[in-house]
Amino acid sequence: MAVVRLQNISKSFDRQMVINNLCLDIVKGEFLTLLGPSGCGKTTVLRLIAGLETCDSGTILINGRDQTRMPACDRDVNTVFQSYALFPHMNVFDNIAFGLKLKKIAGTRIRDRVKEALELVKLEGLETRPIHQLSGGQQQRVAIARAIVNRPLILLLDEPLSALDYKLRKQMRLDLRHLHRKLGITFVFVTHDQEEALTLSDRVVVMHNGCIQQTGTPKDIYETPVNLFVADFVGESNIFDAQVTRTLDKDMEIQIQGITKMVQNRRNFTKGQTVKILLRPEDMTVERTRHQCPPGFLPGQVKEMIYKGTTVDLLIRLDSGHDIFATEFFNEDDQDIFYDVNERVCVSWIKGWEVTLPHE
Amino acid sequence: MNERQGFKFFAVFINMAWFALFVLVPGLMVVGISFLTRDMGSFFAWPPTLVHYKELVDPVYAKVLGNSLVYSLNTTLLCLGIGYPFAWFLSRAPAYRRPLLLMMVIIPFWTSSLIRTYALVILLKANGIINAVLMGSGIVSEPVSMLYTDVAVYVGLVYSLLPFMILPLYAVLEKMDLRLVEAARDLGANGLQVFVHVVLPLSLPGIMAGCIMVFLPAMGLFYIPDLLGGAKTMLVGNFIKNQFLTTSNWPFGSAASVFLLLLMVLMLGIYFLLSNRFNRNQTL
Repeated sequence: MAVVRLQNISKSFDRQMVINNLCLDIVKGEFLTLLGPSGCGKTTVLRLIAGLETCDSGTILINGRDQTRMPACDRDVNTVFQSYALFPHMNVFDNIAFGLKLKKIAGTRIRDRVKEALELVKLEGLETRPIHQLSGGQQQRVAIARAIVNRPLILLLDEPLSALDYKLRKQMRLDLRHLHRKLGITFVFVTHDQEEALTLSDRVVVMHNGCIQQTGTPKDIYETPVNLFVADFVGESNIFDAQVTRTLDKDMEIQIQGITKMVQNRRNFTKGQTVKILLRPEDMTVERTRHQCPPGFLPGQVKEMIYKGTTVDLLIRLDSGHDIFATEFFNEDDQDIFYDVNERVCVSWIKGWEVTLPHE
Repeated sequence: MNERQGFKFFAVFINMAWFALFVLVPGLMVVGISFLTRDMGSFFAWPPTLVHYKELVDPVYAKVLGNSLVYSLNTTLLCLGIGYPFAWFLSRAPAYRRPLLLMMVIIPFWTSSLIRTYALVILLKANGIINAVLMGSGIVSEPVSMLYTDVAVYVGLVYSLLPFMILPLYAVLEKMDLRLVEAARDLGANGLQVFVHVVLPLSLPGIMAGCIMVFLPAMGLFYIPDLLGGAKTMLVGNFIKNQFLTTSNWPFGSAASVFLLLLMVLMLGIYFLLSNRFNRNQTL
């Protein structure tokens, strides 16, 4: 059953449409991520669920009940804010106990639950610390503790990791997953960081211009993007225009960058149709050559080689003038993945690894 | 000494000299005179004495002081009650409208407050504007006596001192992080609870500053009780003025001034102590 159901939600600020007729079901207990560039409306969706904004039209059902007009303080939803928004005039304990005290829970019970929440975020013993004496990472954890101590139905997280440094961010990602599994609460997470979205979520919702572009598992989103926006925003892709010259059975022959190549035909494209071919850099095969490229390979020249430790990224300029990225992995069979700048190469990919989209 | 240092020295020196000449010296003179004997001819004379300070302890004067404290306290509370909501709405008004609203608070300062007090007299007197409107519209049949009442004194004091309450409150409220308000709502606080647990404690420095800035001048504003209260209510300010201008008892007036000064220093001291502690707990 959907714990949150957004039905035809629209929201404008200053006559600027921010959310456009959005529908979304959030499943109980899942880790859902709203992913998109800044200004795509993802934070507004979160604030609508929290009750910090009211929508212009549409309904919001929480746990099956219409709560479209219910004020934030009466919703069984808590938020971890991007800026943490910890109360500067209270210490760690009072910050975390804030929600419980408002619910008039007995003092001893409050103490126990705050202690438990601090253990969950690994900040045992910091109860009396003033907020300004905490590091950024610790403040983050207090913000999470302050929300989960109330045992909400849904925990909303608004880009909570964006202010942390890389190492801490990676640690917090693991901790968040762990916390999600332990608590069993529905997490709705907002981010513009695709890596965060892919590593954390059960389901990812990609948003753009106030509309949902694609909803699916991280694997779906990455491997079978439904449109160019998703393909481009999630991960890197090389995008080519191509033309279908022949269809046969489940395959089709395309004309791409001056060569012909067989690819899979998953969407019943017909002869003469223009399509987009999307290829991830890690799916490209690169071969050295002194002569002509074999059939099905695109000739080009290495323009830039970027060493990244576990991989080598190549910027290759095809003879057609098109620049592409290819990622080569170090492995046992092929130790020699270092290329010289201006070295001639042939580029291809294994049939079926491409994503084919209709021309938009 | 290079040119810049020379300028710095000059600028500081001018300021110091100004304050020394027109604040420190007269102040010390007041302190000095308070220890001298009253003299009808030359206002004060030798030998030194403590008699004026002993006189101050007299219940009659204690009552004057108590009166003043009550008036100042009430004025401060009224200013807080009126100024706080105003400062809140001012700080939440759209950014483009705030300068205009702030100007409307500040513009009255451009006129002498004595003149503004006379303007209040014209409004409040028996055949004044307010009574004319009330009688003209048939709400009352006889003029309501407003001038020379306590109400008039409070109207005058609050009117004159309200901006001193609004401005420091506006300063803290405008800086306040609204995300804290949202966080409190998110955690289940209703409007009143948000105000009591978050907004009020965070605006405490502004409240303290505003109260000090209203309370202290209210003690000394002698012409408002004089003009609007009909000199019926004796406040510390009036009392000191009378000692100098009416009864020509300069040493006694000086002693009362010194006493008032010490009282204010004491309150400012408490304020700084409190605000220091508050800041240590709050900011980085």
